[in-house]
Amino acid sequence: MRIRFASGSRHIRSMARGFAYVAVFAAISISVPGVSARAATTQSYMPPALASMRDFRGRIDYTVKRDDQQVIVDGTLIVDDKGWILDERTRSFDLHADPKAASLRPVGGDSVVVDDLFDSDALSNAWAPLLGESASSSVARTDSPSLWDDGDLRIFLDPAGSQLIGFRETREDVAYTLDDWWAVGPLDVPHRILRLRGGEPSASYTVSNYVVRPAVEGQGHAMKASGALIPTLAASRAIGLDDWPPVDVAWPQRVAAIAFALLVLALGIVAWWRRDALIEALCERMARDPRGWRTAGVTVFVEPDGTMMLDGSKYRVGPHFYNRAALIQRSILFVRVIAPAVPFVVILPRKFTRVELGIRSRATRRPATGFTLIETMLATSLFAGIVLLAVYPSIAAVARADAIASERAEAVVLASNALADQETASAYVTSPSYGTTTTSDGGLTVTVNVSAGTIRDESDLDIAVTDSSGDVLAHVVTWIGAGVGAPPDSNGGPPSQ
Amino acid sequence: MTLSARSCLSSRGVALISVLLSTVLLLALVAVLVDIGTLRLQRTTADLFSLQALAGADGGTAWVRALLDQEHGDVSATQTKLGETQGKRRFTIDDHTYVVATEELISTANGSDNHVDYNVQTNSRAQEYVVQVESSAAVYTNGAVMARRDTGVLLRVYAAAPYSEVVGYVDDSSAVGINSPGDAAGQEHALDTTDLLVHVYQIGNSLLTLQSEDQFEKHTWSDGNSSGSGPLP
Repeated sequence: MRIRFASGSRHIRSMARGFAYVAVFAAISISVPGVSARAATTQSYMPPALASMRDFRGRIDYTVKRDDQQVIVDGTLIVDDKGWILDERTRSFDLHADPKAASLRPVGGDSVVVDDLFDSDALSNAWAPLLGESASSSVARTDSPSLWDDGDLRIFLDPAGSQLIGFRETREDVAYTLDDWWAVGPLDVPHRILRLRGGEPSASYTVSNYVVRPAVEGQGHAMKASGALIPTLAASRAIGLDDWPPVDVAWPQRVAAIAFALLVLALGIVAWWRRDALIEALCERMARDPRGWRTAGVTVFVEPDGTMMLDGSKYRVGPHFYNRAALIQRSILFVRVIAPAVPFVVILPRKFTRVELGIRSRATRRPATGFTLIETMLATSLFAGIVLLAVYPSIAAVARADAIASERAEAVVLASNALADQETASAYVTSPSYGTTTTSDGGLTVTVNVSAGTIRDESDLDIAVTDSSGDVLAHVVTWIGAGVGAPPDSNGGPPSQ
Repeated sequence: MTLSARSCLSSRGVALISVLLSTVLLLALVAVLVDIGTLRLQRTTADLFSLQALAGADGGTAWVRALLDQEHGDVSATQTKLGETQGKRRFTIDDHTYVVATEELISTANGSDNHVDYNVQTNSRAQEYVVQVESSAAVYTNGAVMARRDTGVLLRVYAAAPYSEVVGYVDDSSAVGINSPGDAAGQEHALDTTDLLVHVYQIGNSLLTLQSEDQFEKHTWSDGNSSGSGPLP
């Protein structure tokens, strides 16, 4: 016995076309990561932490401060296919290093060769040359899965291989531990570095303001074709690194979220357009299960146009059942129509009419077509979802908005006052006083931090206003220029000799 | 009968579209409710961004003064230094927010000068300059500009420490325009004021007397303002 559905083949074909479009869209959405995944599987295994360092090409800028000193170091690392260049600049000296040599040049003096870069106190961010070495030379696995060897360096990983713990020189007794990792662009970068000599801590550094600019494919080839690397700013300008935008991590996540939302939306639209075909497919599956049709059937009369009335609703079953003893079986969701001389079965979604309570006169009541149960449930769930996910949170947010706004307005006033006060005070102080001042007002805490700037005669000013729970309500950052002391009393005459 | 079947399908379609339209209407009402209910919060957030931009503009001026200090008061060298970064410098407020400060130096110009500053020392051995710093700072959140503030700062620049001094400040977004900030080249002494001029003396022939070599001139310069003399800029 065959099973036939009204216009079923046409619906199923169109549904198939719709899902084909969605499939193409989904394939395009995931094609790029798919290619990357295939490429990755062809390479030999390497822990993710080392693999990301090995594959990095581009430029990294950072700022380092040695914890027991006020010296600020500006660092730049450039990595390409030919090698790497590291420059760390302070007010008193510049450190330059590449895979072959390292040198130290005091301000106004001659360069001095540094024979061991990692053993030098002038090196602040030891992770930077380690990254360069990892990207330009091979790193081999040792007998221990958490130890990797780079010739002169031995790298320690955590058991999962997802993070560097530290590294040491194989010839010298100098080691570094790396901590406080954060993801910046495609790399995980350490913000805390500790140098160990003979197993004893000798210096610790805080690294901040990382800016990671990966080389795009075309620019990477341009760098390779242009020859050897040229150090420092001139090199970066020559190859256009300054023009590269910093990596915004949120952007690809947002694009992926939008693509996923579009995919879900497209699937939803196709499913809604083809809901009849979906329901018929469900009918077909249900029809194959004889347990759903155990109830005894009733015989109904099918009109010449192929329609019949059942429980007050009209069904279109086809003209084949006209003038035949059509047997109707019902389940909760579906209606099954068979006839002795008809070689197929018709399964239809069951319709429900309103319950007649006898309040309205029968003469004025119009026959209702009604939704199917599935459509009713879908519409109800959609409406309930919107109320729960959009309306209630919105009302809650609006109810609290004024209170939040009042607190934030007060925080902005406090931050503005602190900014004006500190700028005015610093305008007449010839020797800046660094440190942190904390005051409380009305449940809000104002923290004013003045620290040494990255260049001479400039201080960093950081003002943060927090509430009682520690949430930052207002945050202002600026620089302060050198103060000018009050002039001595003078009547304009010549100075005394 | 065919017409009846089409009518049934049409009624169902209208009903479904009505459900969807009512849902869209509900969402629109919620959006309007949220927009109106959070007006004050939006204003506060805008105020915070504006304050961060103002701090960025002030910081940009401090950066220019630090460069003047590095270049020992050489305005040309400072302009060259600024040009290396197109006069831009960026600093981070948090993970999503950063400020880009853009600096421009405006020094002496010929032609339609609309500032008159007396008592500028023009002796070549102790020359001072009057420079206006136009500082513009924009606050970016997730790459979108949220606020921008512009300030004009008048600097007195010397060839010796402290190399520069702020003598005038104008916040371009201020509701009330103010006049050019005083005599940029300082003031002469009076009964209740001290002398703020840069003087030049030369030891005389007797080695005991100092001979004044001041060359105060009426020094005119332009701040790039297209309008006539008056408020800065």
